[in-house]
Amino acid sequence: MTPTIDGKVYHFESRGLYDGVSLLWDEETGSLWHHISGEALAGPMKGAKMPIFNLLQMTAQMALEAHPQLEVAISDRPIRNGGTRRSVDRDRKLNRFFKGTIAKEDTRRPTMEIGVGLWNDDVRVYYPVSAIREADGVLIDDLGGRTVAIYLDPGTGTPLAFYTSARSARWRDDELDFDDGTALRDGVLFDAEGKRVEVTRPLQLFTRWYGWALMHPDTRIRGGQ
Amino acid sequence: MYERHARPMSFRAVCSVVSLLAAGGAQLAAQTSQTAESLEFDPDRAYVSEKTIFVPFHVVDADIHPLRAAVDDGLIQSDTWLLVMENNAGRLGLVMDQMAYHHVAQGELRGEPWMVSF
Repeated sequence: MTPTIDGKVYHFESRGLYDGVSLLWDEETGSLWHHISGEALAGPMKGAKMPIFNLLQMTAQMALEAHPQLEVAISDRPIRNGGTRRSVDRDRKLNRFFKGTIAKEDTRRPTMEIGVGLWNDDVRVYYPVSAIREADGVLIDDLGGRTVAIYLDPGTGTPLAFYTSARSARWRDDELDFDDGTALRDGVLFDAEGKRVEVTRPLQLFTRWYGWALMHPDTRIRGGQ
Repeated sequence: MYERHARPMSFRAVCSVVSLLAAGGAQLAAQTSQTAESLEFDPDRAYVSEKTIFVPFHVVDADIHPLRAAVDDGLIQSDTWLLVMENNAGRLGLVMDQMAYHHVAQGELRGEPWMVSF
């Protein structure tokens, strides 16, 4: 997000919970903000909205392949177990404390299901990881008039999406080949001549179903209702 | 974690604190563009701590390293999970495990303010 409203920079902390997700608090006005949508929910800034950008999850190796010049900010906190991610437990239950902040869950999908939500000004779509997996690890879909590829990174299983001109794709070992001649290897897109191509990504969020559905009650679901 | 480290209170209970902090807030709000449809907020379902729970990461230049060097020097491992923030000024990685502590990181990238919440 860009923490600037009308030219003034605001400073944030995570101070609470609402709808099962973090509530941000700004030290300038004490307003409460949704930590994903960037919208002020209560307080003097209510209704203000910060511009949002993508926040992608990847290993350092994946990041180096895709962005060799990337810089990383490291705080003074210890990094436990080298910072490797614990496997996501689908059957985990939602903590009752979190549940107490939720009015009504959307029961179209299991509460703790994981997936990736994509959105633009017109449409919001949730792609459960299970649905992507059932489609052999890649889906081509229409997102508000633009074609988008959603795939599971073969190294980590993380769902990622980018805009494409292709109409179909299939895996060849760990390479994803598209029918427009492009190919994805190690998270990097190459054109038919083997040159790197910068991908353009829709806004996307790797998240559990309940958090996504509460933020976007009008969401469509790819892979069954 | 909230139950153990914080004393959560309903949003209504902290309204007075918010009001004090928000001196001049009405003017600020008036200057701010409003979204077409603000989310309906139910204060009775919100839990808000009156004190800092998670210390945010205020990123300064000294905290920033080339990722290649950070891996080569053993500051992080090649399989360390990162959050990669993208904005109009470029990209920056953050260590996911550290963000699970801070929850919020904030700084400037090539002069452009950014904030990440996780």
